[in-house]
Amino acid sequence: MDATKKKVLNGYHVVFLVQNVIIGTGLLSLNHVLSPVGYSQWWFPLLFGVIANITLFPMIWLALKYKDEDLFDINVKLLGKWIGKFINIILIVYALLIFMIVIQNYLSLIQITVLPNRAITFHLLIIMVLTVYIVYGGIKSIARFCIFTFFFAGTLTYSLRWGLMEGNISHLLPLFNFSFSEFMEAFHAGYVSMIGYELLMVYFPYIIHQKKVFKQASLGIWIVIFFYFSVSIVSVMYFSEWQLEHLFYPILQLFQAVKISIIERMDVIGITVWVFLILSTVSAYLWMAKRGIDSVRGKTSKYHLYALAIFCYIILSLPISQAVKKTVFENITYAFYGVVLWPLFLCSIHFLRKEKKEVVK
Amino acid sequence: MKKNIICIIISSLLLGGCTEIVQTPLEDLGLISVAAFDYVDEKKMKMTVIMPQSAEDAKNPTQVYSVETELVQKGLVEISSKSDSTAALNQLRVVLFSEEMAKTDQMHKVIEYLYNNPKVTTRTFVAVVKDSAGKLLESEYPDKANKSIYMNNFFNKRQNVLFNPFKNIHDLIYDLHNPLVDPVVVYVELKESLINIDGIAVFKDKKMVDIFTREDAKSLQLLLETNKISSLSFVIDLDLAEEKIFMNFLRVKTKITSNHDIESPKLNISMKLSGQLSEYEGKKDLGNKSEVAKLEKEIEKAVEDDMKEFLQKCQELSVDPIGLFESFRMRYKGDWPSDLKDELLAKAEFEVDVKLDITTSGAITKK
Repeated sequence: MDATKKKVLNGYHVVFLVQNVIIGTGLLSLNHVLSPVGYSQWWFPLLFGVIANITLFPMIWLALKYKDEDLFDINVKLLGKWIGKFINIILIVYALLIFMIVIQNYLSLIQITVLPNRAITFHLLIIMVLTVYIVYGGIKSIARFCIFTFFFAGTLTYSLRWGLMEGNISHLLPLFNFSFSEFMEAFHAGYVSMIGYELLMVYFPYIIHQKKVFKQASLGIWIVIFFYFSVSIVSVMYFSEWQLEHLFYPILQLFQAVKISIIERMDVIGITVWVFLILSTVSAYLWMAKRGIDSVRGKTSKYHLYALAIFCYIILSLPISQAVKKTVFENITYAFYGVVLWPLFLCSIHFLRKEKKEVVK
Repeated sequence: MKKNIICIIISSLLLGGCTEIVQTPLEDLGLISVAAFDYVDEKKMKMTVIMPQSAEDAKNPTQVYSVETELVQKGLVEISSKSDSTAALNQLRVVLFSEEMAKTDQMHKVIEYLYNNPKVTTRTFVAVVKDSAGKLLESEYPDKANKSIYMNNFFNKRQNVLFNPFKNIHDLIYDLHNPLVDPVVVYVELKESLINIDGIAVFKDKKMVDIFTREDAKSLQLLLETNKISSLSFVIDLDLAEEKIFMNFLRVKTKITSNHDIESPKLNISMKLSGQLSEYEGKKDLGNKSEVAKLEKEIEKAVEDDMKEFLQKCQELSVDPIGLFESFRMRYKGDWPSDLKDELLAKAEFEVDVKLDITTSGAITKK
């Protein structure tokens, strides 16, 4: 019914779409990647929130100038057909890379913790099929899935209680105990966990109340920051600096601190429920890649979605060495910075064109 | 679309059977519940484990295996080759180390291995055993139905009892890698076919250095468990006045403040205790307010003396299991140097101030 309409996303959809796309695998190792600044890391999520909020401005300003066009269309309009399409292809590769990195990270986590003796091929297939199924319903289906995920996976926050009770609040001080290079290292590695809100530029034309988007997207971002901040504070209180530095997934140990008589291993439940967060993130990126292909090829087809999913499945099944995967993952942050700052560049092009038009007149 | 999805799901379920790696069925696993490690030489250790019997009608509900090995995982493989099931650490609840092993860095290596292994929960309890740790698992406990359950309950269910600073793997790793704390682990021995808590083993630089008595452990718990203890028992013998007191504390609040001066550190430990006088043997009239106040003062003095004695012992041994200098770290710029704690401890001056409030002395009037 909604597939025929273009404007399908209401306020709630936008809030939870922004929020759930951001929370993927980043949160699992957030405290580890922030460890260069030691205990002072607990307030970093607040800084991330402020910066994410600031970078929202150019995105929404530009999107409001082109209300019925997404990022792919704006690229073509402002940069011309060839350059625009070339940039769009880069964006598609970016979306697919994030899609694959998130799935790969989650599957390796599953392999380390829950199913150490199993090959991941079968689980990968199931995740792919589910993702395709969610994306098939369009952006509204993804948004609805995000709302469900928020209420379902959000309950995991309760498991922080035990870590908080056993932790030591004195770890929160001193506040600024790091050097500039440590700060930059932690910021660079940590800000990658905010990946996800840049997708707003792609689903903007589908939003009903476009003028309220800034408020809604900000709310989404600050819900994320609330989760990140809670986890960071509890981790800093519960772990020693050595543990923060050496534990790759501190949140797993926080789950293990849970003492409920009927649950022995909360970490296994936590990691299993995490699949909803993964699905909401990857389906949004797959949808973005599909929209990109639609835009580059100039026609909408559901076969684009199937082709992309099969392509990613093959790539993920290939025996690619861990070193290559690690290099890609480390450098995706730069691509993310590029995409977040891209609207600024487009805004300047927009002004130049406007001025040029006025001069011609 | 629906048909396609159904086709994919059914075919993937069928193809799932083609996976070559098959997970071991649960009934083939020998789930180790307690593991004990003894020192053999610099490279080798003796690993003793207990796991439940796979046969229901077995005479003894638990089976014991013991091997000499260099690595834990290698030991598990050897145990599996001796046993009728595959040894696995998924249900490990308690790890025991002999005193001899705790005095080497082998214990630290085993603890780090267990912490690194995601199959082992970080809530697994750690204890040091007098003499042989393996003997604790090999000996029979005639009045206990199941050795495994006995040991699990022994370490698990008594966290609120004073003088037992029970530490699990997470706590121990936290302390071992914290430059401000020297770890302590509960110290047990086998006495008259039962496990007995004999005190606490104190570690320094990842090796056990000394044993604190149960009296010391009481002082340590009062200093450590600030705000966390809801009830605990404490016996004070005031020998001079020939009074015996047993108190149940409802509230223990310890606050450590410092002058933040690294050159001449001074620490003030103020302790607020309130509780019920549950048993009393002495000449005081507990119905008389002034006599109760006098008793309070006497107990305060006794606790203060205990604390001072304990802190002096810590200074002599140069160990700090409390984390006394945390308030210094909170204001310290840069990484905390590993030897600064010892320097501070050596020159620190302590002031102890205890305030006790006896809320009630029971249901009947005492004279």
